Amino acid sequence: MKQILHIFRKDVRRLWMEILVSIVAVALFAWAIPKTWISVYVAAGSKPSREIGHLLYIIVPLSWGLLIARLIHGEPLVGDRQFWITRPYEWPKLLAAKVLFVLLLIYIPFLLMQAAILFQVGFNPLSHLPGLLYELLLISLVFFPLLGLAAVTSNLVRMLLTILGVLVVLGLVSSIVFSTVGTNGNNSNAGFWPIPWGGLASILVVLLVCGAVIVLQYARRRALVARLLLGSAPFLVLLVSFLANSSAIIRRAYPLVADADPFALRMISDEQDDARRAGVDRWSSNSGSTNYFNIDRKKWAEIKVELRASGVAAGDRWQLDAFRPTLTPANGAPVKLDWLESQEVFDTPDTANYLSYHTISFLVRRSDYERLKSSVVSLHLDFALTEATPARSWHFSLPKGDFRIPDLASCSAIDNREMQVMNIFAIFCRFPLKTPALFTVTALQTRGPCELAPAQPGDPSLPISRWFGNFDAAPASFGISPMEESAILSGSGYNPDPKIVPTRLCPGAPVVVTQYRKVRSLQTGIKVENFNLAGEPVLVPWRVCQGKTKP
Amino acid sequence: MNPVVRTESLQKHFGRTAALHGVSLAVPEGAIYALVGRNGAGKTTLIKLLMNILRPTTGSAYVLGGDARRLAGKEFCSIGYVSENQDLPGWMTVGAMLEFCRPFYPQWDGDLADRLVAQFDLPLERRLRQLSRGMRMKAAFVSALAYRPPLIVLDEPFSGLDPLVRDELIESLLELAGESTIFLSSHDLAEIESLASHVGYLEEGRLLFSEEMSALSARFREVTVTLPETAAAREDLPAAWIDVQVSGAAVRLVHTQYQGEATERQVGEAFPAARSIVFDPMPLRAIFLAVAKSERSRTRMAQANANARTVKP
Repeated sequence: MKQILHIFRKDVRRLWMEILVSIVAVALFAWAIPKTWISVYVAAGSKPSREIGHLLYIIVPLSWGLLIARLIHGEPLVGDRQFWITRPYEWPKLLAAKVLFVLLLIYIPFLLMQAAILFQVGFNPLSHLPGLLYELLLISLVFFPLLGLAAVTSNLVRMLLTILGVLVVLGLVSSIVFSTVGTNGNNSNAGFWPIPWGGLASILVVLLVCGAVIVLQYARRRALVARLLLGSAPFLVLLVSFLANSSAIIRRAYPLVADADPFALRMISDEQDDARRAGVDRWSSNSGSTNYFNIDRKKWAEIKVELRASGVAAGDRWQLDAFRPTLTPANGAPVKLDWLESQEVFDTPDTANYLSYHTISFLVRRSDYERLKSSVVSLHLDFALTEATPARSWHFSLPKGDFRIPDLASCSAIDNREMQVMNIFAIFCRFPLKTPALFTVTALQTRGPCELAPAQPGDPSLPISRWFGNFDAAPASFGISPMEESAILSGSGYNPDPKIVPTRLCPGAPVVVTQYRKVRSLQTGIKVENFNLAGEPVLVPWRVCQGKTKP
Repeated sequence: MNPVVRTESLQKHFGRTAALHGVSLAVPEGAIYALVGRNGAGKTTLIKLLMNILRPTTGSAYVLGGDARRLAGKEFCSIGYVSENQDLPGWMTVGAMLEFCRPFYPQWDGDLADRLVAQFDLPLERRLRQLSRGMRMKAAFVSALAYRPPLIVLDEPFSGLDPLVRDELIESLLELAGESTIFLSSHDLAEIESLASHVGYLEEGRLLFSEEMSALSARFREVTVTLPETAAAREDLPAAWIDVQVSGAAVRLVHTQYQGEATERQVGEAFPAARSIVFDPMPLRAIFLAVAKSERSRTRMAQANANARTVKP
């Protein structure tokens, strides 16, 4: 222990300036970041603190990087001229001294900064302790690779050049991959992670590899082996990602529903649905538009499938987490894609709420599309679904300014005229540590100016509703700031047609927030025969209709 | 007596380049062993292998009775290592560096450290990076000698230093000579001649000899044979006679196995018409030059033979 403290004290003496810079940057971050939130910014107007806040998102990680590099390079692990390697340093104690330094002077300030921001917003840091500790694990995704890089380089310049080299190589590889492969259905599902606790497996792979590199370097100083090991980390993450997307893992996370299960999906025709569609502006933003940007249309064709749920038990929700399309022509090879992520939510269609209607889309190679479109094709869709049921609700009148949704968020109702944008009203919320569990927020709008026309219940165009959140079980999501800010609801928007009276969210409007809890996840599928692929973007004239959700 | 440093067929390759070819040596306890050779001969590589800074390709090395590949941590309490190539913590002052080193060594002798600092006239408050090369070496010496290590390993410790500094360092070393074994490398023969008790000579990674200085001086003689008339080149001389030079009626050679009268008789028989034969003791520098020239000519000849074999169909 004596040796650990002796080396630690030496490092503190040597790096006092870097420590000071890092801690001041972190403290400034805690002070400035709340001032960058849109609601606060709008209320306070443009201030330098907002600019400082944004700048600190760069300065704080840079100060950590500098501190880590200088710390490790104090006793360099690469080379054969170092002073310390012929002195009675015991490597476990040297490593422990460095770990102690990182814990006390990087991790603890980071934890305190996060707790301070939570406290400022009105959340008790102690009640979010698991999330705060999980944030430490997540921020290790920054610290560990930096420590690993410092351990395989002899000085700061070499480390910076290595980082630059890695970025250049990654940029080249991704540009080559993008130019030769392009965006397709197979790589757009990168976000779908059926393993509980999000990307924990990937996180652990990165931490384990970097940890192994660091220990190997301190124990043996085998720079070449350590560099190779560090270089393997991205490939190992890809491997884990590949394994996580394997059918076996997905079947485990989303058990298959047997054919005899009353949940099996079936199809209904367009005509049956026409009446329901009347007066509902389902395609105001989706119809004819694309879900894919920056793709080479000469190489890829986009196929859209319209989905509608029916038979969902009252109050229940089904979230479509992912889907997997397979196109099978009468003759020739089928086109089978991987699982693609989705965030669509189906609720009870009888409410005439268009949240029940969704379009999913995917890409197929142009050559496959040309081959398939002149043939009789069947489409098979596998769905990974999560059932949710209401857990708790909040009913309140929309205040003007800041308000709290207890245990959920700290929010601000913003009159967007103050933002000098469109004539709508928005609700911005700050959530502690992560996007919360799935919830809906529904509010009644007012037709015309807020001060003239009160809300008119019964008018189908007045309710406005939005889904927000997910069922990621992890207690925190990656970020330097512990708060996530999002607009959870905004008014209907600006319409240039003077004949249409605009609707607005107004102070005093009734608001209902309903949060859901996960009931179960399952996997099911449907088959659509005689699938017509003519026209583009291909909007498939089929409705997917869900059967009973409960026996 | 167990050797403090021992190597057995030690080899080190850097890619395809062989830096050391099967070096075997032993340094007895209490010796001042000087490893000499030209720049690039492999001295630093050998020392780095002994200090476990590099790992051998084949062969083994033992330091203070233990495998050099396992040398780490506390074992370095018994070894004082100073190298001209070592990166000292330049941000530290001399005083801070010595204070930092002290707790690592239970046997740290504060009085000795103070004495050496005073003897070397070291400015304790100056940062190491601000010191001259000589001053930095002095500071490194103090940090390596103050705990009275049983083994002191010095890699080119006097290289590029002015004579005054060099003498100061040698003086400090000699003070510890009784209680420590000293292993040092140098390419300057003059500086080690007065210091070393044992000497090893490395030439292109090969250890040509390794023995006590007194034995080395005793077995090398410069032989000058004066003949009655102009001498012809002789190919039939024994292998132990090296660096044979013919100049008019004089033949000069170096006898590497001088054994008094027996050797004088042997030379007399080889040159029966000699008017005179003189056997002169050789300074270390002359011994090394003769051995180096002989080795180089032997290597060239072997290379030429190998090339000739390659060219033949």
